[in-house]
Amino acid sequence: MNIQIELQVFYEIAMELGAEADLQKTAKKALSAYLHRLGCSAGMIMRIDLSSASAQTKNVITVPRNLDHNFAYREVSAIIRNAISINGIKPLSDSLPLVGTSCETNYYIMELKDFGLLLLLKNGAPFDRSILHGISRLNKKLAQACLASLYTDRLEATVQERTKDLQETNTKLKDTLSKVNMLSGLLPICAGCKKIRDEKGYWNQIEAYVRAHSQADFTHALCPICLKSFYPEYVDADGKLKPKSSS
Amino acid sequence: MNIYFDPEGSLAGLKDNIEKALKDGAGGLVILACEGNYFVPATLDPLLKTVGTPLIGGIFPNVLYCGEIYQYGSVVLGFAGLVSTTVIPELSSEKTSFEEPLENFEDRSSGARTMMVFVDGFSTRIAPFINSLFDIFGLEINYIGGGAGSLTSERKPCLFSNSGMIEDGAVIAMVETISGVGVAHGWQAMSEPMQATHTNGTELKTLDFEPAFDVYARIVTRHTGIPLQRNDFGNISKGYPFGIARINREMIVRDPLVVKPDGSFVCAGEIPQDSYISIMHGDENTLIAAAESASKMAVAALPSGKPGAFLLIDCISRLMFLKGHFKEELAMMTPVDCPSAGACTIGEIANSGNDFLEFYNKTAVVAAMEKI
Repeated sequence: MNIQIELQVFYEIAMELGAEADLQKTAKKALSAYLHRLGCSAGMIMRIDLSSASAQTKNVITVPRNLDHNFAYREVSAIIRNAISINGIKPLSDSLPLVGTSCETNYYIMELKDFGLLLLLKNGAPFDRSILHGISRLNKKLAQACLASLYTDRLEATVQERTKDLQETNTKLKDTLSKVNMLSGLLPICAGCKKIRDEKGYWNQIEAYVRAHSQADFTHALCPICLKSFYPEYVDADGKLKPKSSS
Repeated sequence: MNIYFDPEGSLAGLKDNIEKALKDGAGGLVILACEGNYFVPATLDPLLKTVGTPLIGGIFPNVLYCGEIYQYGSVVLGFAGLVSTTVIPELSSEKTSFEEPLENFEDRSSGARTMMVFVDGFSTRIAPFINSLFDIFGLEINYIGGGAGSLTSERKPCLFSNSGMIEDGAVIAMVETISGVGVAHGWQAMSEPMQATHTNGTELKTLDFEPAFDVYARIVTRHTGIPLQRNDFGNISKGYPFGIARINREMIVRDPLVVKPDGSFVCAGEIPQDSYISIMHGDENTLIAAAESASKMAVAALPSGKPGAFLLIDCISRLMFLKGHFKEELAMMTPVDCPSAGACTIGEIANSGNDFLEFYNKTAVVAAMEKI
């Protein structure tokens, strides 16, 4: 293999890495570049989340997207799943890159440090050591690009979540405010009967006016002075209600 | 796959062959017509719209039939069994989403083994379309097809569907016929790689920071010993395409079609920004040997190893370069004594399930079709 072609190809792939902000686009663009330039037939980028007790795996992207009918892919997927479920991720990571052949298809399972795994399927001549070394160097950049996109995705998700919360709070606040009618300014009130003149010039009972211009309502009672004035027979000398007679 | 040929390229001849194919039980039709037929929507659409059986096709500079090259004529390919077709309009528009229509089409294409796909060869978003095609349909089918259109580069309707002729689109047919596909070109790098420092889709503006034509002319002049003038570009460029390297694979060829006043090229197919490209060259021997190799690959990939017919998709620029030797290439592409038909295309689409799907230029594609 011409070393110059290898360098060209690795450079071209490197230029495709990390050019997108979100994880899905980053992974798709990178995987397409790998497959095109390295002459592969299919590939997958898998996220392995080690934050929980058991490693959680998730296919970030598979190109082509439906490989379920591909025997080599099914076999290699089973190898990965079994390795992780039986022994955890550590022994699998230690054994990478995992290289083999299934149904005349060469497969390569490689580490994307702190992110997950890269799977490449290739028909025809296998990669030699020099190419595998070059790919492993690229994979470090790919892993960093995926991690950066993952953090960006999380950050954007958090921003979206907080923005949504804020919008909801704002909506509630606006809703509440719309229900509060504040009386303000100078109200013309009759010095004698206490009626209030409205904007159309009509004189309104104070209860009617306040009811119409605010959320307040009235319940009627008598103050001690009025009670004494209107119902003196029910009030003692101190202005308190007399107790009811038993008869 | 049954082949019906009308050497006159008349509407009546095409109509007769469509009727013959349907009478023979075709479940779907692929029509390859010569640019020289002067088929236009006003006259052809009424015929296409009356065909109730799924059909696709296109107009090409030349069609091929049993080892001969035709400037006038129409080939009708009849496919038995269930055939489903679809049309993707407005291929060049950034607004066109390929995924949704292709996913819908996939849902009604189960059981298909071979995809025939033709695009308007002058559409500007062929690469993203091809990527979506491969992403959705994957490795389980064989792909064969290419770019339709006119050598004059004049944009006009060049694709056929049951709804009539369209331009700037893609037409796809999924057939049950089993195939084996071989792809090869035979061009070899004759220059050191140069970086495509400024590209825009199919436009190559600068190489190593210089106007692309200046660099190209310098290298080609050194190789031929004759100063390359712009007015000679068309004659010379057919023998000196660009190549983009891949690991363990033949280079992807990009054909420079037009040189613009600012020294940039318009190529058939995209040139990725910052990619390294070489200038390539070949001769009759390397090209014809590659065509033979494509044929051998196709037959070897056919499960039975016994083709019933050959479908040939060969780049028009190979015909222009090989001239009188092109018939030798055709002979090499059909080594077995069985019928063959095809077209000279503006870019080729092919994959035998072993590689990423690519849009090729200056490449010979052979599909060996199983007898039914």
